Amino acid sequence: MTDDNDTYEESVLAAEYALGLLTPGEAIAFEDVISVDPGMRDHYAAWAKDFATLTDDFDPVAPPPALEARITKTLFGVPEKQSIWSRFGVFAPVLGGLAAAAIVLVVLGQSNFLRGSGPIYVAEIAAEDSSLVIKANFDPKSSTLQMTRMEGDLAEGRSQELWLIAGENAPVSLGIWPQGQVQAVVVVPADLMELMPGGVLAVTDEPLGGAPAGDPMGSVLAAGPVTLL
Amino acid sequence: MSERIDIEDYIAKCALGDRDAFGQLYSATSAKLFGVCLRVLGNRAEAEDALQDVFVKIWRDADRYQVNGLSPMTWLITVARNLSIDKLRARKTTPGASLDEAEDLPSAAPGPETLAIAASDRVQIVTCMAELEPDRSDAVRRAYLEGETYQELADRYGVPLNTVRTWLRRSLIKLKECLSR
Repeated sequence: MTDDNDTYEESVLAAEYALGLLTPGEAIAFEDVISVDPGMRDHYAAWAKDFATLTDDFDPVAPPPALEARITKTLFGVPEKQSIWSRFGVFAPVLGGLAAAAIVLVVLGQSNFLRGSGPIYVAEIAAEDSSLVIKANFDPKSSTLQMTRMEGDLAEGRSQELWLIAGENAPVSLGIWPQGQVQAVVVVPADLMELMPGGVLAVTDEPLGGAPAGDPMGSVLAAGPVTLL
Repeated sequence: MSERIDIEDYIAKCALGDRDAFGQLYSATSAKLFGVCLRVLGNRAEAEDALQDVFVKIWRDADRYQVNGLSPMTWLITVARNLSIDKLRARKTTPGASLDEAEDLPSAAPGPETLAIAASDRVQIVTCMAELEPDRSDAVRRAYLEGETYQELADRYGVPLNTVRTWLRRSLIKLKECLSR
């Protein structure tokens, strides 16, 4: 038998494997071979490529939109609607344990804000379509986060909850937006101070009074990173 | 369709657990892969289940992709084809199930569009398949796109299993010779 014949024998075996024509036992034996034999792996790769081109004329068909969420949930256990978290490389773990008490944000009357020296951080907490925009300033000296709602209203019978997400940490509630107010201020707890710079502020839609379990459950309405002014 | 380099990059990032990259890979390739599942299975609900299996496998096997020697789209299409064929075969062997469940199982015969794009060297295999006798290329196509086994092909063409195996292997050698030219 010539080398050419050997090559064709091997190639045909690779083709039979690629087509799924081998018995289960033969297929496993073939997989053992390609794991150690680069020549055989090349034969298989060549056939896989050629056979795959048989699908070239198959029209792409958009899968139903809900399927991506189903797959994401299967893999990560997180509904796709929270994917805005992931825009900032953060995934909201849907588990308890970090139940920060919801602080109702203090309504801001008059502000002496921005009078201090030292660094000031800002954030624009915005929806992708700008239907909700909240401007925020954070002054580490006074530990205060001052916010002004520029766009968007509160839905009747719902609360909007503000969250701080820092790195891989679970989102921590900073409070509930006061009903009927355009401005709000929150005093950031001491243990969260160093997480503010570089963190992400997000607003979720929650039942009246805020997320019951202390973790964001509703859809993310708006989000934005805290950056140095 | 994203460029090969993007797809490869997304897969590499998936291997590192990057879920954003997984989302980008899904956006870039899910329609093509769903098209493959749908064509093999001929049934939307099953094709959706298959596509879910495909992306779960892609996510879990992304770290092993580098060593299989396949180009990124070849790997993705192969995964979609193989998992769809698994479902198709499971359907065939489920007691009480029948092929009638397939709503409109597409024919394996090449349509005019296949012949029209045969000029491109990407579809060199179509040209080479056309050099085979029609029932031989039909058998190769049925094996790949409908998951038919040697036994099913033997039944279909009314010849003994060993005969169908011999002539299919000869056809694969001819195909290889043509593809290597």
